[in-house]
Amino acid sequence: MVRFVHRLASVISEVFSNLTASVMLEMAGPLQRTLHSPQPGAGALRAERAEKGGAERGRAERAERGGAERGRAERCRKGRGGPGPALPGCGRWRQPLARAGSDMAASAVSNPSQLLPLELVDKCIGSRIHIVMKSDKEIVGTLLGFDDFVNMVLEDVTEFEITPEGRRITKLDQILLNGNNITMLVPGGEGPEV
Amino acid sequence: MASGGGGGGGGAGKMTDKEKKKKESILDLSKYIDKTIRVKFQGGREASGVLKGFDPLLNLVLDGTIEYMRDPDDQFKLTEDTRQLGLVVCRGTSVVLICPQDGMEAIPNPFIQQQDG
Repeated sequence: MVRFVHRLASVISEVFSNLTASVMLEMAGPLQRTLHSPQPGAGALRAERAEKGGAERGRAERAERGGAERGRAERCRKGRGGPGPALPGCGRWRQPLARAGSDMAASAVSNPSQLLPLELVDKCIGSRIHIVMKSDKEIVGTLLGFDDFVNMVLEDVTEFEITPEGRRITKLDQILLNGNNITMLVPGGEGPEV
Repeated sequence: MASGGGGGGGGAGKMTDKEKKKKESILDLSKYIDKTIRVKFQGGREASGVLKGFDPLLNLVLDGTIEYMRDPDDQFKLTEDTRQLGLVVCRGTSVVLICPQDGMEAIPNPFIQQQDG
């Protein structure tokens, strides 16, 4: 009987995983509220409850949790990091933000030959990049990565001040460059020749 | 942990529905694709190049970019202090103006008062 319940649970969670995460969460919502808020590591407890007789509720909750995680993972992989800053690790953009300018997003996506700016920056990861700030400062380095705000992690960095003439500091290791003041990014750029 | 994930996922789902009705870009850049545009930035920089791509946040991809820099003694003569940058990404957060390259021309200063007497 126990084995049957477990097998049924895995079948149902597989079925649930085919639904979209949001639909499933709507379904599981009311069920979830009737349960007591579970401890984070109470997977075993939930399994016991499923065996004893809250079998349906236990199954739905486990499936919802698995589906939500899978949904989140899918969103990460596809790059649709919905609430951008709230999901660290979804920093690579494949498509424009769905929440900002749906019309423009539609026109941008429907034109496949168009190059998305953050895609171009993403392709530049691992190679040299030349960053022009709003002020008269430029940074040349190897791009290790960037995030939703285009804060950048760079390596082997040279900093240039344009007006006073001359190279400034050559920094090694890694720097985190705040994206607030970045104006332009030149992939493969070597910086001002002084 | 399950309730946190459920709350976050449900909230985000409802938000995108509402946002789709509200948000709409007022500028359609697709008509400028493959055309030369002039872009002005916060901080006084200017650049022009062929628009190759954009996103709703107004990040741009420009090809064959020429940057015009302002000098203290600059009355903004276009040929002075330019440099070729090639393929660049312009950050939308610092873009203040976009116009077609042939949509601008230099005119004599209309604000100079002619002193009589």
